[in-house]
Amino acid sequence: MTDAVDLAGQLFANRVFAAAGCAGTGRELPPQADLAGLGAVITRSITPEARAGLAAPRLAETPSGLVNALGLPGPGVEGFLADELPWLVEHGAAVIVSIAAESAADYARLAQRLRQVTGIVAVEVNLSNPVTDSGRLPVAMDAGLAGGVVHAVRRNTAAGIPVLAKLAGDTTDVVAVARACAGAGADGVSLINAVRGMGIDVATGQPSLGAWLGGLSGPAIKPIALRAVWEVHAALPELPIIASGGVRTGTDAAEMMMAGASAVSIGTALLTDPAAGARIREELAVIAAQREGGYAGLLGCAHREVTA
Amino acid sequence: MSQAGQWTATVMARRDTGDYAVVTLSAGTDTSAARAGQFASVRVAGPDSALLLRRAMWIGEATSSGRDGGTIEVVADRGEPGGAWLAAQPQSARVDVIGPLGRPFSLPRDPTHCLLIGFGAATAALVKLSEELVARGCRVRFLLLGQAAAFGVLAARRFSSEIVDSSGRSIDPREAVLDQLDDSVEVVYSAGLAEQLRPLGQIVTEMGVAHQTAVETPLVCGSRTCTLCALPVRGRDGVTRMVRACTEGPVFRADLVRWDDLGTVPGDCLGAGEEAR
Repeated sequence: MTDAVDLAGQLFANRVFAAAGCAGTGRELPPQADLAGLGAVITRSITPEARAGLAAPRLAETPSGLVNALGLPGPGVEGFLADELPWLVEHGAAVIVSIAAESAADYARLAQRLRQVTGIVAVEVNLSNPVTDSGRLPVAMDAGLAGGVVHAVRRNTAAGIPVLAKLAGDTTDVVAVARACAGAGADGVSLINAVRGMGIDVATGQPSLGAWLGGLSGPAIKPIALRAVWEVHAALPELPIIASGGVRTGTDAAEMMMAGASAVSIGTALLTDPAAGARIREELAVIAAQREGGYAGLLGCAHREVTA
Repeated sequence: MSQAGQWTATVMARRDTGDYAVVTLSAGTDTSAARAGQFASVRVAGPDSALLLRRAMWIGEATSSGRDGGTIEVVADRGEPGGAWLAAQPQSARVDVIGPLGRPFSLPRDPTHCLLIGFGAATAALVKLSEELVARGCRVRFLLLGQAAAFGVLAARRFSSEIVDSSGRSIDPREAVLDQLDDSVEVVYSAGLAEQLRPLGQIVTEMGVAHQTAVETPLVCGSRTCTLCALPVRGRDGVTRMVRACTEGPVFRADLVRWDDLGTVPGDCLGAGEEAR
């Protein structure tokens, strides 16, 4: 049984990816993290210009979760291409570049820039920011806006490079957004981004985060992610899904696959244990081996058993 | 900085001293490279825990020749759920540790008169530093502030007879520091939470005394990518950047830290103004 998986025409060595923002630039991870052993490393979201990020505190611990408001700190696309991408490629990582911008035109320019370099296996479109036309609303909350951004990226990305749309789990109708993205050329979807949330520090009587509001990740949101994966797979069974949201064991990964995901990405689990990738991959392999049909037998099986 | 390893440590011993527990961990690896100012990142409460962040704990003593490949001492705050968990672990318990992490204190080339100012758990980093300073013929004076850290007082006595223990008392840290900062002091080393260090940063710089400061970040991630610990620091090129205490620090030149801008992204910081809405 092979761990390899074909996602939208791109072959990945296994089904456990590092989620955007959680493997850093790769350099900071201890050697045990084994970047090359992950199916792919999805980079932190790369922006057109360097960003300092938001004021502290940027992260707070909640029961079985973390709320964060980082503000997409990073070196900007040119800094990324000069310093981070070459290192990741050199160390054997299959690199999916996450991109974020504040207008569809800037997303298009980012895609064009990435098109000029080698070493990228796919592009993930982070839709959790607002764009110029959306007011305060994250793009992923609106099917029309999301489709527009994905169209701009797809049109400027090489044909052999899959474009993945990262969607929100707390939108009213995730299926409508996924459908719009697929219609606009997305080759797959990543489900789900952090769920909007916040914390309050009782000692100060103030929000825990410097930016007040943030996104909740970790095991606390796994049921929300499972539901999103389930709904999108039921409506669009041919659309590849990379599931994220609270995956920290092989069992969690298997649940995501049974709901309809082809692969999983781990985020908060890497913050707790940078070596989690290999462990989850091995645990998932054991579960798949016990299943008739292996990984294929897991994929979407919860739907088949319900409808049978 | 070289890449730190992740290893499974074994709890060898524990000393409870007031609010803290000093826990000795056998490394199963060579820890002799650990330097004063470095910390260990400890995963707390097991794989199913609701506590998802690791805890940064200062490394006190480190030995390289233990039966199990060397040991390190870390300081756990028993008043915090993660620290309480480590403090409650029995002997032989297994603990996931990454470290030693971070940029350590720099040592003076020649014998120097040093004032070491420690707050609470961070005193452990200074005790280790004092050992290294005394070995170089330096004169070491301690000023202890913040939460009472009896373990630090006891350990500091081995390296200095000049110990002013004002910890556990409600005093103005500026006055306490000014009292100790006489003309004979050539270098100041400090360690504590950023908010505790803020009042010191400016006055020591104004007095023209060299000052290295180790900024404590109690919660950390394992990938050093969460930027939970980011603070504004001016580079040698004059440009302010948001840098991570866990990676670019925890030890900084105190005159380069933007003490008045802690908790903010200064407008002249590289990349400021591009933050997410």
